[in-house]
Amino acid sequence: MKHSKDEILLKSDLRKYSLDDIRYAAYSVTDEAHVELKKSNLKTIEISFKRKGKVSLKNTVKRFTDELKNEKIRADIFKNNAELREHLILKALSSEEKPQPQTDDAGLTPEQEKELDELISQVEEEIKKESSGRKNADPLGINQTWEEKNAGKRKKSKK
Amino acid sequence: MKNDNNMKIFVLDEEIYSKEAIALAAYVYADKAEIEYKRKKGKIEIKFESDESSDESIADDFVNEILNQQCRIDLTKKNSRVSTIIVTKALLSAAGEHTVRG
Amino acid sequence: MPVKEKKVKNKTKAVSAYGAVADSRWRKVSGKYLLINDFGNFEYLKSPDFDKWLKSKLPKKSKVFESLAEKGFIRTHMDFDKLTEKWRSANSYLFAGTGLHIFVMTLRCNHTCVYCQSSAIDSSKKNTDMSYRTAKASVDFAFKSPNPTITIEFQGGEPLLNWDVLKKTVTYARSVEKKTKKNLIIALVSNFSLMTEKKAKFLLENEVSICTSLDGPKNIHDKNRTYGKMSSYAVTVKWLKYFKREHDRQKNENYRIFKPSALLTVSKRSLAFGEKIVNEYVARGLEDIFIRPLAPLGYAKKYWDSIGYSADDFISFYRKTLHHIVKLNAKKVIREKMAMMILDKVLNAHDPGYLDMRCPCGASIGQIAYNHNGDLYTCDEGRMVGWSGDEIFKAGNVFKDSYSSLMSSPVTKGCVLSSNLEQQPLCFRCAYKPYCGVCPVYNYEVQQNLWGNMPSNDRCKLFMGIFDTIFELLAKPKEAAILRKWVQK
Repeated sequence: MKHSKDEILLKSDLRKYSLDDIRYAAYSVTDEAHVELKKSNLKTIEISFKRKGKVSLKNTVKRFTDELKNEKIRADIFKNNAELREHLILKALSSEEKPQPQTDDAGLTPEQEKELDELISQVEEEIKKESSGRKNADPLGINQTWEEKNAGKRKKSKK
Repeated sequence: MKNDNNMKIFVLDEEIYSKEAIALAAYVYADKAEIEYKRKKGKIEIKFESDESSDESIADDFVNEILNQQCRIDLTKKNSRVSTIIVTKALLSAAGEHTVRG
Repeated sequence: MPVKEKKVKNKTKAVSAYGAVADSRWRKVSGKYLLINDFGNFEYLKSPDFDKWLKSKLPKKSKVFESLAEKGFIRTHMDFDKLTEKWRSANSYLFAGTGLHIFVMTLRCNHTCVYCQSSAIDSSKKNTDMSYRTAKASVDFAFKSPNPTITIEFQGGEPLLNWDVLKKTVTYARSVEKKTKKNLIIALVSNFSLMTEKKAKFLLENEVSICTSLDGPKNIHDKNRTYGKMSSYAVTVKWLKYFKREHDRQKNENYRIFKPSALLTVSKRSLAFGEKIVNEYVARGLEDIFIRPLAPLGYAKKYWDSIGYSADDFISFYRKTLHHIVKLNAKKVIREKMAMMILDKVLNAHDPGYLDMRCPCGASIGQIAYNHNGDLYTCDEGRMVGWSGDEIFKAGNVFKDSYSSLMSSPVTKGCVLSSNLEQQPLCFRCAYKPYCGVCPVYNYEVQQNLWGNMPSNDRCKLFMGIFDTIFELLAKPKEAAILRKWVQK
């Protein structure tokens, strides 16, 4: 490891850390340093850290080496869990809402049941009216612009 | 890095910094610098010309930005499916294409 | 349901060194490892336990193992149904349409606040008032959202400068609510300088939630928020008292009166006065204080050197002020809203509707800003960028575009894609990822691209500091008990 106050050169072994890991660890300290990576030989990456502002470059390089160790572990864990993670997120995004469990006092009174039945038939009636004779109905009107909706309406003259 | 007034020429390893990453970074810096790049024997030579500063820091910032873009590309390779699923769901739900939970 | 380890023929597949560890992220907080997973579960581990967990060497009958297993940190002991239900709950906004609709009633304002991010203009310029035609079209547009709950928030400038249109719009919106059977929430953000009893009565009868700005005691508030030769503080406090009194004495009305609320915008001047500001809120009978950081957007960007501050300065202010608030809770409940929203996610796996802190962000899909002329923006911050001449965040127009075309516009898609934390290298690895979000508008304004560059992103640093502060408190039993009460369901 070569170093001066303003620049430190470090070598990283590609047999120990993948290129992705090294790139990410270098990226993570770009708040404090200008970082450049070069391939030194087949097995080694040379990383140059040039400090930004008044930071301690030694501390920056320490952050880099800590992050590199962490990234290796994280990458391993992620690789091991990638499929499972994808499965669980897909499951979460596509699962139906679970019905709420019934509690003891959840039953409706006869009046409430009657009101609910009336409301249901009202809604069913409205749906029938809206969709009768119209293919590709757009009940919320979300495909229609204001201009399309109001085309042909006469503008009121301003006084 | 070679210097010629405001023009800097530097060479990056193509194995480390992909052309795609350089192109994305060049787009970010489009308002700040004239950037040209070309392949040269396994390396990428970059000509960077900026009016903003004659010192090296803006060119160094640009190299940091290439690394930023490269790390995004690296992540996309690992994680594009989950990423796409989430974005697609968000956009479809907003457009009312799926049943919406109250 | 335990995950079985694969066996290939007669030899066990070479497993990783961390084979039994489920996907997790970690961070050092208060000398311990804070472990967080995609489902939003968290656990504090001392270093030896963290090492043992990584190497799958925790004794299975230990409390630590049981807790980690229950929360989904042990790969072989995950309850898939429970965990996915939690993920779904925390990310419920992914299943909904645009909920928040911000109506910019006018760009005029009679205050000249040092940080005005709404980029308000002189109160004589009436050509920047929203017409009733535009307001009506905006209401119709808002109700096209598939979200069963629509929130219309009147803002400005100072919205009361366009009172006649505002009043008619409230009445119209309530009529549309009845027709569509959706749930409508109406809110007004005002400096109160033009409030009268007649206006207040109308607002209360129409269940309009009232919100104002209160930057602290008179000497701080009036220096931040200049109101000609008058005291903005005096007028703010007068009407806060009025609305609070109306809320406290309501009984058997046909309408609900909500508690008034106040927002704090932290300027450079505020940084030395955190405790005094909180004490002012307590004295005014306010139970919540929203400590909002200033962002270099709109007008504030131009004057950032004189009114702005670094992320470190804000974090220091936030930490000190939040600690003061928690201490005060021994005598009087006062809660910090940013903390509450984070705690709601962390402790309840509930989406509090904070559009700045979700993945993807709420640009268009969570909120729409309706400018006075009918132009539609991804958010209010995007509208502020538009005011300075760059229309990159303009997604459409209320007269020319349909709701569905807005949702599929390149502007909307660009913001949604660039705020997806699954594609942000730093965020993807960050412990706070399940609770956080990035802002493409901030990234664009400060770092010149929608994606930004998180290691050197001050907003990222600031939010990390807020999360650290909250999790430091959650690690202490007494303080944690107070914070939990804030979001108890």
